Amino acid sequence: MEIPKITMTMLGASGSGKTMFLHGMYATLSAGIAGYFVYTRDPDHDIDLMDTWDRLNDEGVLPPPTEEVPTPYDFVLKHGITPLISIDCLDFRGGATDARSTSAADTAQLLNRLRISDTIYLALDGQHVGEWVNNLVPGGRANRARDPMKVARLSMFIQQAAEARMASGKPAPSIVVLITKADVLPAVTGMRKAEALRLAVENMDQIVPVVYSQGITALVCPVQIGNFGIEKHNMVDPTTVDPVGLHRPFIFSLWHFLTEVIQSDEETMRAIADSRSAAHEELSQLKGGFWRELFNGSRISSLSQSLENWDQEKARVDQNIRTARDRAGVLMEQLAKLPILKDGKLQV
Amino acid sequence: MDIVMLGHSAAGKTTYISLMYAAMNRGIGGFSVHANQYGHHASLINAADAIVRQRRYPDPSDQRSVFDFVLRHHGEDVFPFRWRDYRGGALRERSTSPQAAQLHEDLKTCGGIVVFCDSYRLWHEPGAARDVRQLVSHIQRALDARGESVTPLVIAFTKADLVDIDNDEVIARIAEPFVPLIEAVAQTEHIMGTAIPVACGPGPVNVEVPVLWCLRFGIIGRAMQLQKSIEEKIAAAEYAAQRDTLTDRFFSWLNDEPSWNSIGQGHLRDAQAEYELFEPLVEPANQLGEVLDGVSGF
Repeated sequence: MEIPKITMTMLGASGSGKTMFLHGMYATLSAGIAGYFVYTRDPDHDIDLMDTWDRLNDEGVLPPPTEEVPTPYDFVLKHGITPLISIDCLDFRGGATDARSTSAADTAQLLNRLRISDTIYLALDGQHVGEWVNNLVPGGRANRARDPMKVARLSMFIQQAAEARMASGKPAPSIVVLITKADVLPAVTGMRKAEALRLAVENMDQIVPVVYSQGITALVCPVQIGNFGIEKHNMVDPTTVDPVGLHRPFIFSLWHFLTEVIQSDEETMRAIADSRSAAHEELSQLKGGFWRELFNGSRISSLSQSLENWDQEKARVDQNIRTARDRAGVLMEQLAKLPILKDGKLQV
Repeated sequence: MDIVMLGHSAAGKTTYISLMYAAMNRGIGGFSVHANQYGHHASLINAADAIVRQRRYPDPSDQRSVFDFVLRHHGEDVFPFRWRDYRGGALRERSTSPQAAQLHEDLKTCGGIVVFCDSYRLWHEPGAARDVRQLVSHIQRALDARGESVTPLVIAFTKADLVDIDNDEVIARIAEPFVPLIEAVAQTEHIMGTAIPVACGPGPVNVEVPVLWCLRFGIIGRAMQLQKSIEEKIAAAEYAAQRDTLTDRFFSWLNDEPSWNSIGQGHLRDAQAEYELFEPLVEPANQLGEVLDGVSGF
């Protein structure tokens, strides 16, 4: 059976940890975590992703930045042995969103991609998030105007793509705000990680306003590859590799997709109920009396057939909704305690 | 039935095949395995002999090897099978390598998968768990392409004589990277998994289990296919019988076309022919279950 496919695009400033997230996510999920697995349809992509991960684990070498040409990956997310969804993933290099280093063609390519994206991952460097959190508390020392995360521009791209999708009748993309290198938050902020994250989420409307937009569902997801510290480095101690939370963004993307499916199916159910009700009423009018039935025989037959078809369709859609709800419930177990924003409101 | 051996370099695949063949050629529980080609028989027996008598291990495979074997039960051929051994390096090669491409294809179509993993490395080298991840990824990709066909899956922890397999901590550590896959397979009805420590030294341990496990469920899968086909043919014969009339026989003869009677008889002959293939599989499948008594599945 063909599984549904969603399109995912990953954005973030250079050095925000997008590429590292992708490698770590794949290493974690392809080995299996919490009953979920991922594999690449192309076995060669598995080798590419894992070569880099192996170098990190064996020699402590951090991966190079994403190349000029965006790298596409076709992932399959499974629960146990059951394939759930195919994810067409594109990792844009950090500079692709930098106005000074990109051509209009690059920007157009990015915007086109965002418009077809069902889910967008926005990587924010944990160190910069921590510095920004410092601004929120008395005695903060970072300069807000610097915007090292390029959030204003990225947020604008996402906003445009979301509006374009909604204008064409499609649902807005789900957004995952990845706070990468979350291990550095305590060192940068002097707070416990949970406290720093709470402040970041509560004030996310200032840093990534698009996640508070009507129609948008967003997850704020802290992730880390290891405990590498706040020093800038190209090499790390391999024994400090300690992936945390890397599987959750994919889980959220699937969960959001299912909620969209449920919503769409519920609309279908309402449409079926309306059509059925109208047909039933027309049928009861046509069935009153011998002559009326005689002259409207073909219409009566057609309406009866339609009612039967709608009943079958209703049963099928109802089953789909129940299956999707069950699956979404199981997925939500993995997202428990993580902040989810929907239509500008915090859900957890 | 094709059985694919999957494992990294030096996991013990080539050594295993020699010792498995030598043990199964002598026979266990009324079953024996025989190579179709004398050259394969001689080379495998000689290699096993060198391991047992001289502790001389075969060189790792530098190319893909394919062995055509037959399972015999009390001297009667019951089930032919093909054993595919890959160079360990194929797992890490791109699809431009013919052997890697062939491995990906074989995994999708084979009748059974035996995964080899070096217990000694799993116990001593933290990075060995990442090799398991690659095996798991190959298996997950292949299982999607295979659908719901019955698939025996054996995880063979080789070099088990080099670790303390009576120590629960050791067993837990070497099995840990496979736990997500084991739990996933345990939720299915069509994948028959087992995990078994195997030693391929001068005193071989459990070398017969991987092959017999695959053959047992390969035979059961084949028997189920035949049973389904027989039932379909009998149903088709009954359908034809309901349409069989003297008039149909006469006009079919006149028009020189098959009558419902002849169509039904054809289905019954086909069903009978398939039953003759099915029936000899039943007892070996049951007997293999007895030979494997005590081997736990997941």
